[in-house]
Amino acid sequence: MHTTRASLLIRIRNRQDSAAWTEFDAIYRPLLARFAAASGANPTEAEDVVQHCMTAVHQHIASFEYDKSKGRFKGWLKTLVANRIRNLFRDRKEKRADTAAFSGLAAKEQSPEDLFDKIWMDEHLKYALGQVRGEVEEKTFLAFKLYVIDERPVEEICAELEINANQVHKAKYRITRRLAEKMAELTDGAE
Amino acid sequence: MSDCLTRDEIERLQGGEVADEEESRLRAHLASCPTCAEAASQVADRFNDLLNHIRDLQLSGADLDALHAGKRPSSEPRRGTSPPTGGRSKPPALPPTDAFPGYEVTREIHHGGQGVVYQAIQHSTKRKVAIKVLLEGPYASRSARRRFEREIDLIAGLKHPDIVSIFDSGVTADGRQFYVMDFVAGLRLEQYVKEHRLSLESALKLFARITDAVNFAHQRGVIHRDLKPWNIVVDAEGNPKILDFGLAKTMVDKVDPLLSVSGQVVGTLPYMSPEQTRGKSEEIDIRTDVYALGVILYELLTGQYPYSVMGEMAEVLNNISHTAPKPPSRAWDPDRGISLGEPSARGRSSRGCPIDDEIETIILKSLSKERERRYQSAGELARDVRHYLAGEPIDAKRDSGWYVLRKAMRRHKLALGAALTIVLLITTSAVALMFMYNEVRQLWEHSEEQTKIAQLDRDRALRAEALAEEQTRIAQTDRDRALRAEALAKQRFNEVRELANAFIFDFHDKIADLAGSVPARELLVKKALQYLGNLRESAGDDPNLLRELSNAYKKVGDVQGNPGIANLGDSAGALESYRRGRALLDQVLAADLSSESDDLRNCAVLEDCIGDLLSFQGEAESALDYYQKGKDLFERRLSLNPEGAKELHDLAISYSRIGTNHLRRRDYEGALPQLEKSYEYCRQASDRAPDHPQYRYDLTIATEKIADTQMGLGKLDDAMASYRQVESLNRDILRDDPDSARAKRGLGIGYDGQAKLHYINEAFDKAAECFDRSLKISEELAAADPMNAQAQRDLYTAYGAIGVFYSEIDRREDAVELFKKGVRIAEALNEADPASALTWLDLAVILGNYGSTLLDMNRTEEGLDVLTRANRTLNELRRRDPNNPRVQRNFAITHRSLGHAHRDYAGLENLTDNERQSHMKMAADFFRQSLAEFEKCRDAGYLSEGELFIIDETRKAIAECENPSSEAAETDPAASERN
Repeated sequence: MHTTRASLLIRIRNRQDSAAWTEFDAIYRPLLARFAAASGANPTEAEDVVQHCMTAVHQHIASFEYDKSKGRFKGWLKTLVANRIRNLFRDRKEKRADTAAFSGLAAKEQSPEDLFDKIWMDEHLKYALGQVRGEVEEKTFLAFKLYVIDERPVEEICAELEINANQVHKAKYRITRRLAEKMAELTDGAE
Repeated sequence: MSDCLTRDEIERLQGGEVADEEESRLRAHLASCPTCAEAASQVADRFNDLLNHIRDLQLSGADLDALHAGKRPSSEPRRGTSPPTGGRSKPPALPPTDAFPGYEVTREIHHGGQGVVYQAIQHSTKRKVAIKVLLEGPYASRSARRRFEREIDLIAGLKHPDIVSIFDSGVTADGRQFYVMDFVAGLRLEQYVKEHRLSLESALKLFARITDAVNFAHQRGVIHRDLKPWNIVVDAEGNPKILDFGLAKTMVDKVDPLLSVSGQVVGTLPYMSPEQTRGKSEEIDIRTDVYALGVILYELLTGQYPYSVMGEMAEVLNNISHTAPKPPSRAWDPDRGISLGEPSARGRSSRGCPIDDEIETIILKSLSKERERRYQSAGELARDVRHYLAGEPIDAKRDSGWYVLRKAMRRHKLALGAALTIVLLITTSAVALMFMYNEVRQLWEHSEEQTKIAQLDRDRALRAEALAEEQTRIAQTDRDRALRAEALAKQRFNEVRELANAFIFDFHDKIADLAGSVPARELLVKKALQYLGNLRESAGDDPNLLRELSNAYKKVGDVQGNPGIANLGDSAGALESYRRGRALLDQVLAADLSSESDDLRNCAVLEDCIGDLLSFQGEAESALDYYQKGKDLFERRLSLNPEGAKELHDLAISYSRIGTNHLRRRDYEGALPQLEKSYEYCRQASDRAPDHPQYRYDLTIATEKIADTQMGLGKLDDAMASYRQVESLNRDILRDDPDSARAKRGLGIGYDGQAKLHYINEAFDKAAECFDRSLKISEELAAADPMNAQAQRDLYTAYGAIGVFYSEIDRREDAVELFKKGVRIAEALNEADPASALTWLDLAVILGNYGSTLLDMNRTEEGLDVLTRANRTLNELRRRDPNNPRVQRNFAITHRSLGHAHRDYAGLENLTDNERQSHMKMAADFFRQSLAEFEKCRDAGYLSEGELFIIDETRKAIAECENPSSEAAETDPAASERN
């Protein structure tokens, strides 16, 4: 059985915990770069954004209060990165078209928040998936992949991998449970 | 069944963690027990969201392999049915042969955090090339891509033997950018230096070539931004080749993440300039590359970094910004820096270090923290290195006063020394003086002369140096001042935009809905006003600047106190900001009619904002003036473009404001036609732009107001239909945007209206149900943003209204609880914004209803107490605004209740006759004041037909108090008379 470690976001508060920082880096760098690119930043700008945010995280993380109910980190990071990107656009003088006149609120054509949330989830899942894959038998993972991701019929999988249906279901269950644990470890305290 | 499965058993069963015999027992049970089967499927289902999300990622087999190898897959979903490859040890797959048209990939060179580098052969030329593929997905917008392609064109134009330029680029079938460049075989600079111990001269020659190449790029408008030894390859012949020009940030292979082992900082950080650590992208220019070259030269020669780059990130950043580099001659590490080798062109310093003063000066000048003190171009730096190599004077020292002075001192040291020796000789050897008087005398004279000359020379030199230094200093000061002035002008110009575009508009709107954002918003306003004040003083008469300023003032005003949005409750500040904004626009309209339409609109908007503020403060009459002005301006604007959706919408809102203002005075007859016009214009706007969320939302508002008006006019069926329409319109919005606070509020208003109508129809159960729904929404919204005045106001209004309702249906204990909550919130709000008349009045109303409910419960003393508080509040309001009819009306009602309270009090048993009489007298007084106020209301049209009976009732009460009979004291006043 795997035991769940302390949340990643607690561990990185210790700047000496290199394993935690490596893990953090592996998840958040692509996450931030992707968000920046999706927001319209070109690669050079995206790299600036990533650098800026990672620097800020490193500087501020130790002073973060860990409190599950506050959900601060994710929101904080979201604000930070969005702000940075806005500064970029301001530099480019790509002024937003109009400001709402009356009620004072601009119309929400699209929601960067949703985009961030999606990318956040994607990147964490991808990382967790990669980690969990390393923990299980290759055949178990393959069964999981064929069944859950490719949504192939159980009989086909059984024939291809020479296992029985029960093993397919067990593979799904075990990997899913482990994924959920890993996700909790990575994101606990983030939101 | 007795042996049902535990959750643990279910989990172990599904995870295959039970023994075979146990498994068959558990499965047999599952098959026969529906309860356990249900529990099992719940356990299995609880990860469904997670699994769905994984499916959404649409990862291919190759992606999964990359994940597993600790690398990242493309962030863009790639479709395709690549079969599962499985093997953990499988080498990374090459891309399909047709991935890069015109090239054949031969191997993968590097797989980095952001991209993959392949070696390939170009079909047409057979030359070896390197292809870099960015792993990031396609760019979000076409304009972003066009910008990017322009950048590529620029870089492709760099043809220099020492720059590895990009000669082709494209997009792969799955939408990723790639670039093609020459393949260079060789060593990275850092490895090259390690393997070939260089002498000072050969290191400098190599460095000068690198610097020349950088200068070449600068002259063509390309900045590298990320120069470092990793980006410089040295081939077998010793020729440097610079990689990743202009794309450095994109294509850099992230061998070392910025934050890695033990929080040590590696990667690009050591080569970062102070301006880069400050994150000021606008300060990055060619001098940023000069700095990086300085670090490279430092490292090349000494084998060290100029300052510590190990340890805490903050510390390293601070070192880059503030720590002076350690002098290279002292930092030189004989094992890692340049070799002692042959003596340099200038000899070497006394400590055996090959780095002398001059080369040190070159390095330190490149590493100046301020860009202005560095070499102003890579060309200047290269030239000085060449001067040094050729044994010529270097430029770096010329403007350095201390250096010349030191040099002058050194030049005269010899002469001074000779004179001193002789003086010493003379004073210690009297005998010699005797014998060799003449010679000594000659010597003495000679030495004296020498000393004088030397002295003179030195003085002259010193004076010249002092003068030069002074001139340098003045020139420097002038230059600094000019630079500062220019920077200041630029900064000011940008401050407006910064404020308008980012700080206020974007940033505030983004955080406005977040709970707990209030302190940040307050700070924002304070900062904004500071900036704007400065700018206003120096804005001159540039109309564009004035427009932007006006706009910014409006925005600040909104944040301070626009009653229509989440505001900070600072009404006075808001009014001031709006007026400033309006005045600035007058200035614009007087000078420049080039965008009259927009300016008119902005004027109208500000008129309306002022009107809103006044209206919400209860100053309906003056508000109407501003609204009318606003409406006239909007109509003028619509006539310029009669079909414009925006123009129509503007006018709709304008009519809505006027109608609402009528509503506040209970002038329903007057309000309805205005509101119907508003609805009609809004509908037209919505028809022309059906997807516009604002128009959609405002249509709900118009409906809401029509419903209120219909209710006021007694058209109860119409009103019910309208409130139901409000409910369904808001539901539609929430379906598309479930977090919309304003749609939630609208929904609550819909429920509230229906509740009131049910109540009027005496359908109390239905009324209670609708009230509860409405209250729940108000509570939710207020809890989400405790400093939002509007949300708090909605909440106490809900408590007050539902309190009255409960009081009426004899749930008085419940009513009292609600009143208490309402009072608490209104009082807190009052404290936060004492200028808001509306809150004072609302507080008085709740207290009045609260007090009379207590009287109904025979809690006379408490009731009296609460009513007295209500009275105090109303007196304060009357002091400020004696003719406000809403105040008059409530004053009358509360005084009537107070009359009742004292009359009740007089009826209590344990009083003396004196006390009884005194209370009766007070009751009579209160009734009389109440009567006078009611009469004023009647005269001003603020009492409806159905309410006129109150005047007679009050007269009767006065008479009873003046001629008390035993029955009068026992009268049980009905609640409906009091309110």
